[in-house]
Amino acid sequence: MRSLADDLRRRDDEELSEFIRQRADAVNPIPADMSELASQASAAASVRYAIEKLAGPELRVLIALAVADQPASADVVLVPVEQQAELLRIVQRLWAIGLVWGPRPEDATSEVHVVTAARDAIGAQPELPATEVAGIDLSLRPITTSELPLANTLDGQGGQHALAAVTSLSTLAEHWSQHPPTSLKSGGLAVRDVNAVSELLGTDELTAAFWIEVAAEAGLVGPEDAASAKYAPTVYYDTWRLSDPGQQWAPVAAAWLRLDRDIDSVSGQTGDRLSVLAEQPGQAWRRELRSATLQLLSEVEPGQICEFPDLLEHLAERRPRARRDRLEVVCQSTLRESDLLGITARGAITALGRALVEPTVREEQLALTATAILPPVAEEFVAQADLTLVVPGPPSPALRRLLSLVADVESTGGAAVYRVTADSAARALGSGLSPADLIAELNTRSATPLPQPLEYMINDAARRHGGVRVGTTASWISSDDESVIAQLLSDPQAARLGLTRLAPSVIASTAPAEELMTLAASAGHIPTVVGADGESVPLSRPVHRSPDPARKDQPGVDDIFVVALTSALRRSELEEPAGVAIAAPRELPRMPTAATAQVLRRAQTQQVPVWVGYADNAGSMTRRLVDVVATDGGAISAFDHSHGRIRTLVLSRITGAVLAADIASADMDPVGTQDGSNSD
Amino acid sequence: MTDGPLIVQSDKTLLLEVDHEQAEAARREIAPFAELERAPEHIHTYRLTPLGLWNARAAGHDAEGVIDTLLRYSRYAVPHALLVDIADTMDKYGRLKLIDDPVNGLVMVSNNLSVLEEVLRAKRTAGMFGKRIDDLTIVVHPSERGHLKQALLKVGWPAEDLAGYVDGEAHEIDLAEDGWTLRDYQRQAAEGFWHGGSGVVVLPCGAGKTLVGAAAMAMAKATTLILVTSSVSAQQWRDELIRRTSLTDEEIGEYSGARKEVRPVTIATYQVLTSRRKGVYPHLDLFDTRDWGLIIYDEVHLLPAPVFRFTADLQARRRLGLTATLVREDGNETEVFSLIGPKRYDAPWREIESQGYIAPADCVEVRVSLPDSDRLAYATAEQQDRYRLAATAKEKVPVVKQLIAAHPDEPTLVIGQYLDQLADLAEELNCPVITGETKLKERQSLYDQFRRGELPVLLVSKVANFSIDLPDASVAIQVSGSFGSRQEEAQRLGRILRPKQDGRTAHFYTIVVRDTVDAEFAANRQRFLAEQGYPYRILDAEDL
Repeated sequence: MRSLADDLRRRDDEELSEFIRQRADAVNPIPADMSELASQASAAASVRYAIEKLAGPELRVLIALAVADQPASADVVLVPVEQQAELLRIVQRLWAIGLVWGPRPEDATSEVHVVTAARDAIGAQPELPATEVAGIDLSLRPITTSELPLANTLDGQGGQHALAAVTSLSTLAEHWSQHPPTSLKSGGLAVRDVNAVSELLGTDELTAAFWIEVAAEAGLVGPEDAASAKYAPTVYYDTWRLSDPGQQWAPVAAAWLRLDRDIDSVSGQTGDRLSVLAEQPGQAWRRELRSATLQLLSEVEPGQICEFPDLLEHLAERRPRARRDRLEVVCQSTLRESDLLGITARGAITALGRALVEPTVREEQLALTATAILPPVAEEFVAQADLTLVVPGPPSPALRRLLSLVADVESTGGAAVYRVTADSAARALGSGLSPADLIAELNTRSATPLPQPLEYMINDAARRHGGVRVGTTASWISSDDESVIAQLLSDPQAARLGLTRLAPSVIASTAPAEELMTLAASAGHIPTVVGADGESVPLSRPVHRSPDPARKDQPGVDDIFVVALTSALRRSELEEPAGVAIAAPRELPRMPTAATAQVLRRAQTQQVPVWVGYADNAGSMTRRLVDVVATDGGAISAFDHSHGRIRTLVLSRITGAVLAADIASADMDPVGTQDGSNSD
Repeated sequence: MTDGPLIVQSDKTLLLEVDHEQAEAARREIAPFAELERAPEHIHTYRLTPLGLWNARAAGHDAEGVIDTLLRYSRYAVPHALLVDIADTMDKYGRLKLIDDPVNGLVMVSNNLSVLEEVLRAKRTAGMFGKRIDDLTIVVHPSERGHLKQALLKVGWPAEDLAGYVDGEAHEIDLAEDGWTLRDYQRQAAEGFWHGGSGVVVLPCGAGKTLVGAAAMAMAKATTLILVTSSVSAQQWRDELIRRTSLTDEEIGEYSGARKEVRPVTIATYQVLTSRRKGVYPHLDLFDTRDWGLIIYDEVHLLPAPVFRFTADLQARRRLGLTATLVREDGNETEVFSLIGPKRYDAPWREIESQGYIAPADCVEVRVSLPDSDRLAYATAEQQDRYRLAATAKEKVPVVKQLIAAHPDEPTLVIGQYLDQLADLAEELNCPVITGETKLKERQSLYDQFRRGELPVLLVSKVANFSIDLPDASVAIQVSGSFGSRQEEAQRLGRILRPKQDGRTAHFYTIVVRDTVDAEFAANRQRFLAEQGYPYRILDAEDL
């Protein structure tokens, strides 16, 4: 075996996948074959980054191996007898992440080579001469902890925070569906818009920025369209908001784990001020160190707490090569942010947090776990004579929708308190519900009989509802009640609006219809808007929605990608460039790009080969059989069977795509006549 | 997570589910530190305020106990930030102490230099301190004791007042419990006050607040100054004290517009104390004319501003505030707490009702419509005239007649705000009116006739809002009121809450004109009733 590339070629699928997962930065850009993968993984920057992720003992073993003559075996590292097994485990791990190469180390005598870039990176440390590496200790200091007071309340508090998090995000999204903020020319949100959110949620600016960033990362909000540059809730949000709190929480927590953006600088407290949601270079170290912090927190015994200074020291021991300032920033922000999400409470990890750091946890399982931990949702409310509706727990999505329609939120927390007012009742009726339906709906949801004044208020609002009609086209007011007309005419604002009485029951105005609405409302009426056909139009305000943003490419995170890449790399080694040997379909349909992209995505998720028509650089049409590895915006990465390597195909040049399985053998050319050139 | 009756909200309100089996126990334990904000039928709302938490500290409760109570009864986990906030807030109490130093007189002592420095530098405390004795001790001008306590509350470092009370001039007063006894809640209220030293007792109208005052006097056994709202009320206090205590007619003096007697027990009206001549209040000296051992403020929610200011100077004397509601329309509840003292006793109305001490009440709002012509007049009227136009609508008269006819043998009060409306009604119903202009003698005689049942219906203006005592009114019809005032609503409801001999239900009607400001103000008052635990119904006049 001569190189890392050789080693990688010999690894089995599982080992190769693990390597790709651990060295995500090495597969960006996506390598064409094993050699390219090995060379990208041996680059100095990638190796340095891999070393930064090593814990203290791993780093010590790597150094010991690096300073020894190559190849070296675990024997050169002197450790106490009881740590021999641990030593082998560490060497195997170094091998798994490709910092050393050779045959898979099976025992202490297996010889491995340290990657050259790693030797360089370590050799840069003059204070570590070879002689001092005689004996090393592989154990980590035990975590310094103290007893956590009231430990039994920890998970409950986490649950409350998780519920509050979900509420904050819904509040934010609901607010933006009415008032979508416009992004700055330079990208991101204006400070004013962030402040509006912080006021809305009753938090500081930093926390408001955090919720906005998390909402965007979770795909709950996004740019409405390129032209208007407004941010609004996405289509996905409409599904999300109807889910149970546990199902809402899981994707949010997962999104937070993915976040690689600098949120600390948005408040302008540290260094340059960044705009919330503005483009910024990804900082993968944030994600990595955040995971490390959570991992560390999860190692603390339940009922114990590791205070911040100790936590930071332990983290430093686990990431000895990471920059101290980064450790500090991430450790601090992780504690603060995880608290907001209920992942930790009072600096200790909660049951929710432990579920989240499970290495193999999937979003669906996480949602189930969260649902089990969070207090059960309430389907009923208690109606009282003071016109409050109290839900004695987190309201179910359906209940929340009903109540936010007929009532205003008065307080939140363990329970939700709503108050019905004449305005809120009118709002519910304006959405098209009849008073009888509304009362019936409330009755089925109420644990107690509805108080008589509540029913009276709804019927009363219905009686007044529509008593005043405002026209939008000609700007006029009409009412069957002449006294109302008289009242409006006598209003001090009348002169400014240029009101003229056209008939006993009609006033015309020179002002825009909106101003007339305000006039009528301020005079205590509930006006209805009348459409061109004379029928009243529901009063509900327009709601903004954005398309779902494409999930950002997250190499190494997505299982489908890892499997696809593993198998494509494997094929690049195993298959001879088939070229002319492949039978190609006689004809491929010409398809619109969107349809093509859909077929390609299906091919990727199902891991099946697909035929594509492709215009190469020379302009000639080719037909290629490919295995899609990744789709990213305007291009796909795919293993090209005819070339035997992974290539990038520009989406706009793909004329059509058909899954190989969908093509009957009768439609195939017996011998490939497609172009086999490498011209792209 | 327990299955407790309490839910803690993030805005620091506590929701108590009253039908829960542990509700009563939870209520008893949170009452010392949380303010009851509203008490409708199913879920009561309490609020945690700094003042409430400090009062709890003053009464000997510590943060640990408060937190333990919350955790024990809370159904869901209590946010940690809230617990920290409670501990921090309660920790602020007692950093500063007011004590009576044998050498320097009244001094303020702190156990923390930075707290003391912060307080000394605060603008609000300017001019209240004398010489600095040492790092942690400073002399306080005795006259500023009340003002300083108020100022310290506002800057967030409440002082623990250990300077004590003067006993005042001793005077033998005993309760004369012959054929009657103090009710349990009255005794608890009086004892709560006495142990606390100073403070406010909140009891519904008709629950016998006067007796709580008498019991407090019997505990103090000292000369007492009683401040009341009107001379009728003064007369009733006098009668009640003579009947219920060992005091005789000669021992009780009246200090009002008509008479200026200062005796061991003196009853004065707010009006005379606050009458001003050439920019000075000549009668405020009354506070200094004797060495009072106890000062009772009746209807403390009506305490006028000058008395407020003067009360700040009376911090060495025991002060008892009595009221049915601590709601002040001017929002100065905090002032009452800091000057008179914290709330020492409070019971939801419905509880006292369920014990049979006040009558159950049926509250009904009757809505009438304006005829089109009047609607037009209303719609085109100036903003400030609208309420009067709506409140005095003629359409209310037939409804009043109908309601009176529906309760033929029950003494009925018709209460209104506008005199011409009352005059019209008097003519229509053929019954007498009592207004501010009615002579005291005539007033008393009409009240007596009403008591004896010779007068079935009595029309009263807002003079009857306070402290009149009509034992057998069982129906009240409100035709107009002062702009949705909640305290007025409480007082008027109180008029009919005396328990009836036959245990029958009292009726409280409010007549409002729909779609006008009258109905809007009514909604305000109804909400208050509902929050006190009195559900109400709304009826259309046509459906009566």
